[in-house]
Amino acid sequence: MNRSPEGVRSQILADLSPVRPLPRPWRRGLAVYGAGAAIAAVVTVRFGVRPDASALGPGVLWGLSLLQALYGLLLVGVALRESIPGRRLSAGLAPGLLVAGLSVALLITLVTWTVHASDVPTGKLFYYWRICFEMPTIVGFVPLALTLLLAFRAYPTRPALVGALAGLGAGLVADGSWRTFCEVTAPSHVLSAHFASVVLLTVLGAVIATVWNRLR
Amino acid sequence: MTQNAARLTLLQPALGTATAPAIGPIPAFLRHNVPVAARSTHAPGRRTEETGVAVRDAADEALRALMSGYQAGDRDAFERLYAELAPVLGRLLLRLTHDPGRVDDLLQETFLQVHRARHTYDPAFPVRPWAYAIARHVFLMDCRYRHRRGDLAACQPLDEAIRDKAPSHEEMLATRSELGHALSRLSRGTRESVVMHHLHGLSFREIARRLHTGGPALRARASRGMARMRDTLEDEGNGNEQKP
Repeated sequence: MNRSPEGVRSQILADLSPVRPLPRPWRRGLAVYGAGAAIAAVVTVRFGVRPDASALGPGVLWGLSLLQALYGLLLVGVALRESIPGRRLSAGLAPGLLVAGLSVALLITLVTWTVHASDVPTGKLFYYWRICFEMPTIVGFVPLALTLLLAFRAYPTRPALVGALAGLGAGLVADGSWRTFCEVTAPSHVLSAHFASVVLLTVLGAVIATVWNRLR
Repeated sequence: MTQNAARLTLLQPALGTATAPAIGPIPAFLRHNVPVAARSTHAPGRRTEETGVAVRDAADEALRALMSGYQAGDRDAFERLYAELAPVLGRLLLRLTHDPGRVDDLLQETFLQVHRARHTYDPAFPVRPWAYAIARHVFLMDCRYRHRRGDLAACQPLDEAIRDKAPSHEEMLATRSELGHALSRLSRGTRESVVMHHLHGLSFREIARRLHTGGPALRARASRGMARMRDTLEDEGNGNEQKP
């Protein structure tokens, strides 16, 4: 480095243009919330509602999906907050939020399975797995990319954590929407496809954010 | 390292500083480019028992106003913010690196990053935690860079670094006694100024309010007192016992 204080000051003074302070994290997240709502609407309109909707009831179907998606959006907001210097989460809260996010998905899987058990039709195991792994991953990539774009407009000092929070949030939003379409409640399917997609988005978020930070 | 410098190294824990960095070349932020007022009144973690919060809030309000001015492109606000933040960020970096030689570079890099991230500052929040987070990030990035280059000692864990460089218990006791001795040689008024400002962390404004004395006089007394203590310690280190 070896810069002189005077050199740095003059460099800054030469570039002293006015800047607009970033809005609060929840306001910055509005685009992602909109994307989440759009995803839910598109999935419902394009693919329809799962055939066992009446067996599950509105609370388990719509209520739990909404709960999962809202937790995902909360994580997105937290990721945007974490990307502001000096607003970092405490050491215990950060892993706590990640674990709680995965636990929410697991809990919803178990509750849904308990209310109405249904398995993958014979001979369609891989087809169902592929669809239910690919689609939430692809759909979830949109809010993930948006969140990372917004996060890197700020100054994340712990990019991997920001990326993981963004990925988990996006994954929960996408899977929360997708579970209104997929009628399989068997934990073996939900964990290996839906849950795996959420985990993949979390890891992907952390990796992309780390690489992005190095390239900045 | 001169004897005086070595003693000052030992004095730091006795004065309540968390770590005792080795004294090498004096970083620029501690030299002449920063107003004394900025150096003395806004140290992090300082808190008076009665009015600390109020003093802190006033200082923080001033910093927020400067930061807002800086965001609006005000040149003067940036200059004043630089003067206010450079000493505290320098101290933070010194505590992190234990290496005065690295502090200047990291401080300049921190200001460049502060400039790049100035739009992320929210005027509803205090400035210092925001600036500290950037400084810490710059330090960690530097550590990673050095680590990749094979400089493994550059960022050894804090506790190890403290253990390696901290004085022994015997040295601490000797230092405390020498410090007490040097303090006892000062006049009552000068001693009060030194103790209240440098030991208890009160601002000169607060001391002036308590002692009903003018701030500039207190500042001069404290400065004179520190210089006299330094002389006393140096003389004693060289074996020249002073007369009381």
